[in-house]
Amino acid sequence: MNDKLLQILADTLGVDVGTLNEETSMENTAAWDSVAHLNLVLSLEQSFGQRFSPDEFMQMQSVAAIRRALAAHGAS
Amino acid sequence: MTAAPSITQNLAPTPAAYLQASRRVQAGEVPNLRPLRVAVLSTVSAQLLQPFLIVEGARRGLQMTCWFAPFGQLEVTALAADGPLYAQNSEAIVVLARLEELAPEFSEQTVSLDVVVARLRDLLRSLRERTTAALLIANFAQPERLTAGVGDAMLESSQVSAVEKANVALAAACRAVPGAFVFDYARVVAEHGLRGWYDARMFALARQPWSVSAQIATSGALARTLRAAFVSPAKCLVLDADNTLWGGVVGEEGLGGIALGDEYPGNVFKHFQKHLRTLKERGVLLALASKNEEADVLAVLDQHTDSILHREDFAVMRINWQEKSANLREIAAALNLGLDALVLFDDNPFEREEVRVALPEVRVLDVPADPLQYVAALAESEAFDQLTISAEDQQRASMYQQAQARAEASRAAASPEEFLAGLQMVATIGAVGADTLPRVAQLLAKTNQFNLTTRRHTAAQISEMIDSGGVALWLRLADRFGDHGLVGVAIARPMEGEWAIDTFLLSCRVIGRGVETALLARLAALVKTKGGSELVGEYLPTAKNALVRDFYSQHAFIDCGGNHWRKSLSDALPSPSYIEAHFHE
Repeated sequence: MNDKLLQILADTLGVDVGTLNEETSMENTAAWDSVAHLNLVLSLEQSFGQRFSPDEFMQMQSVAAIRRALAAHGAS
Repeated sequence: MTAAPSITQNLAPTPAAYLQASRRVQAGEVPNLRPLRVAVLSTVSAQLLQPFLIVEGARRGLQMTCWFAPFGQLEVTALAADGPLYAQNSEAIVVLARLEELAPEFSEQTVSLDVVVARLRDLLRSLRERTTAALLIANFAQPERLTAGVGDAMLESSQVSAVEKANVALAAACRAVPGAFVFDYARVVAEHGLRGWYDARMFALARQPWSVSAQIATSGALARTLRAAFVSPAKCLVLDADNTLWGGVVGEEGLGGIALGDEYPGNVFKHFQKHLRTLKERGVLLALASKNEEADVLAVLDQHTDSILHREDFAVMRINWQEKSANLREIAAALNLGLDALVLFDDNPFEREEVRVALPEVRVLDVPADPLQYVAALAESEAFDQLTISAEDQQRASMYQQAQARAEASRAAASPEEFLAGLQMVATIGAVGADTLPRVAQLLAKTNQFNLTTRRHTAAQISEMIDSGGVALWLRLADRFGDHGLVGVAIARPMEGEWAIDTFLLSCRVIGRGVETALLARLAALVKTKGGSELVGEYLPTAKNALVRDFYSQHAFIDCGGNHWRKSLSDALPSPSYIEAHFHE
């Protein structure tokens, strides 16, 4: 599967995209620390042409939550 | 600049793309880079720049290894001769200090920035006394918004001119310290534009003020400045003649037919020639390599009234019909230079390719098709950037470290303790109550680095510990630069005579000032008044809190194995003399 979100997450964390899935979250992924998180959301903003609020930054802590945030912005 | 390997080219302007590329640079996939160890001291959380710095460095032939001091700790880092900064053995130390942190009141009103400049001058001296590393200090950007708005420009107390004055003073301070250079951050911001420079969300979330495009611009300019300081510039610019120094082909169109003059398109080439003359005046050698009849080219240089450059401006000329690469080889030999000291500027893509293949050491510039872009292409090539550290600079730098320089620098603090004393810190320590409980619970939830146990108790759990006889303390800190708010928490619980330190943490904003020692001393004193005879400290390692691994042994607790330490309370624990403590239990 060539998923844009998972690819950006993989590039940000420096892991193989095959290790990521819909269950991946900050909680269960060691490389997804607070610095990686900022870099991730900033990268998503650029790649999806969206801008997220600080509250959304704090909420987007799993693949599922990011998909919800993208959907709320009409982007996916 | 080395030939551009594709790893660092055409990247999307995202942290993800730069992170990916920076990992490949770090893995050594870009060949022939010069290693460079750089330390960064900043008033903001600058480590997010790291992937951008590594990529921008690699684009310029540098394999940068970056170390970032904890943010906000300029002097504490610089003054600790045995501290982590000097253990890095960095070749360059970069100071990125912003007015927003150094002079917070400046955003509301114009205040003199003399104190700020003096502080940074002292910082440079302190660094210079302890290391021969190149010192790069960022100057100040203009404020994003002016208090007086459109009225600022004519005020005597103009904020814009106050910043400009401070930058002049900072440059003077740099000139007085050998091996210190201004990193022209103000210029970077101006070239990018203030709008879109900051990202308020990033500052709120991570104390990092920059937008992604600002991170890229800052890193690019910093890498460019570092390259200029560490890589010797090219010596000689080799120019083509037709369609480079003038428009058209002189051999066909004749002296009167070429474009060189005060009207378009001749004025474009005349302007380029003027730029070349300023390069020559800055010490760059000019050479000419042209496939032409020599007499035709010399006629332009000697007789054309609009030619800015003349025969004597060129150190060497090779005007003939042989291959360009052969002429470049002869030019290098005539000037007694290596081929890597040559830069070729030629409008003809075929000639450029011939030289690239035959002489890979020569830097061949990509010349744009539009002659209006020639000047920019040459300037942005960075080929003649120079910020060289001479051997003399190096020597002066090491002399400066010797004691005699101390007299001159006497205003600067000599040790971290002396600097900390100058901060006039006031710590207020109190018992956690209903008013402070929310902030205390928030600190427990958020603090990762200076946190001995990382226990994420809720407000209710903390309340219960207090109700069942425990001691919970908060600490507020203020210094002469302002109030830092509630930044420390300590919680201890009685266990049959001995007391266990359940939680001990400090916000990262105030790490490195000895505040923790004051808090621990107060906790010990209070536990003793409640009948405790011994404190038991515990360190629960996490991925983030290695910083406090030795906290208890540094405070004379006795290691009893299993990440536990004990301290008898028969004697009071010492509290730093430079922190004035008030108690509100």
